[in-house]
Amino acid sequence: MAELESDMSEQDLLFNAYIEGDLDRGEREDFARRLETDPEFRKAWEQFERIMGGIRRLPMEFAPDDFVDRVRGRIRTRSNGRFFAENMLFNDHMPYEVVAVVMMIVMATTYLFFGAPPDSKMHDVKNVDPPPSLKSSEG
Amino acid sequence: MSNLQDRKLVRRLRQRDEEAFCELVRVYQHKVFNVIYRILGDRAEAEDVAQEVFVSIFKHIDGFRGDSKFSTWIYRIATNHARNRLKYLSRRSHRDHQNFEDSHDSVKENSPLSSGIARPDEQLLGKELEKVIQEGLESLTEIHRTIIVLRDVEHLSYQEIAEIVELPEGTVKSRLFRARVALKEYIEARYDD
Repeated sequence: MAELESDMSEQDLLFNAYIEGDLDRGEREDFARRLETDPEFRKAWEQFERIMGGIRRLPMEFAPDDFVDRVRGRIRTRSNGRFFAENMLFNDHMPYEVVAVVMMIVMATTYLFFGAPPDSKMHDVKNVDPPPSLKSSEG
Repeated sequence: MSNLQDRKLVRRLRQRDEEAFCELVRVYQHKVFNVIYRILGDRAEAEDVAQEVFVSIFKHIDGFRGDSKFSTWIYRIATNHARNRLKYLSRRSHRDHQNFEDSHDSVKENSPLSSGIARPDEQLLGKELEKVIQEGLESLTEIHRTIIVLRDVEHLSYQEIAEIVELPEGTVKSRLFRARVALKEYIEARYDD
């Protein structure tokens, strides 16, 4: 700390030591007393405290939402696809529109080749007993 | 993230487990981005450097010996990248300044720095003080900027900061004090204009 004393004022050193909790009990009491009795000292302290409070309350800056994907993309490019290669079949980001179009093509092709699916019960229609007529049931 | 979780994550990263890498980025992206942004003061540059940090981690994970906390190692990579980018930008800006000295003077006259600002008081808008503080940070040397961000924005201990910037704790403390005073003087000068 010796190098500090040469180019920092005693007051600046004191303010820094106070906010770092470096002062012992007696020094803290002296500090509090000086705040009450010395308006210049108090004003300088309030200014310093306001600036320090401003730094400590700087809001957190967040990475963009697609940051993970961008990093993956950069590694994929740098490794020539050795890492984080895109898997088309199981890609998390497969657009649902693509899935829908593929399904429609499959259904249309099936219909063109095979027509409407036959009802399996239709083959047995001839062997089914005719329903009882009203006349015979009344007689 | 606890030390045990970090150790497990590092083990998986060494096996080039891609899911582990994504987890690492998800956990640390905002801390890394925030530190870099506060050092550089530019979102686009910070995004680029933050991506480079994670690429470096991916490449050099085998070099993490576990002597320090994993987060400390990540901070060291992040601050080294940010400081290197600052040096690069400073060299480029110096070159541009020499090439366009006349146009620079006209820009300076219209910059927000030259405009008068009301004295700080209780009504001072937080946003305005935030902007002036960020400009003040950018006026500091790269090591002062780095140390004040790690201590007063990220609230790291002197020991962690000493490991990150690879300086003795006493030197970290003295540079922090100087950085705070330089920042205070910058802000006071702005409000005295």
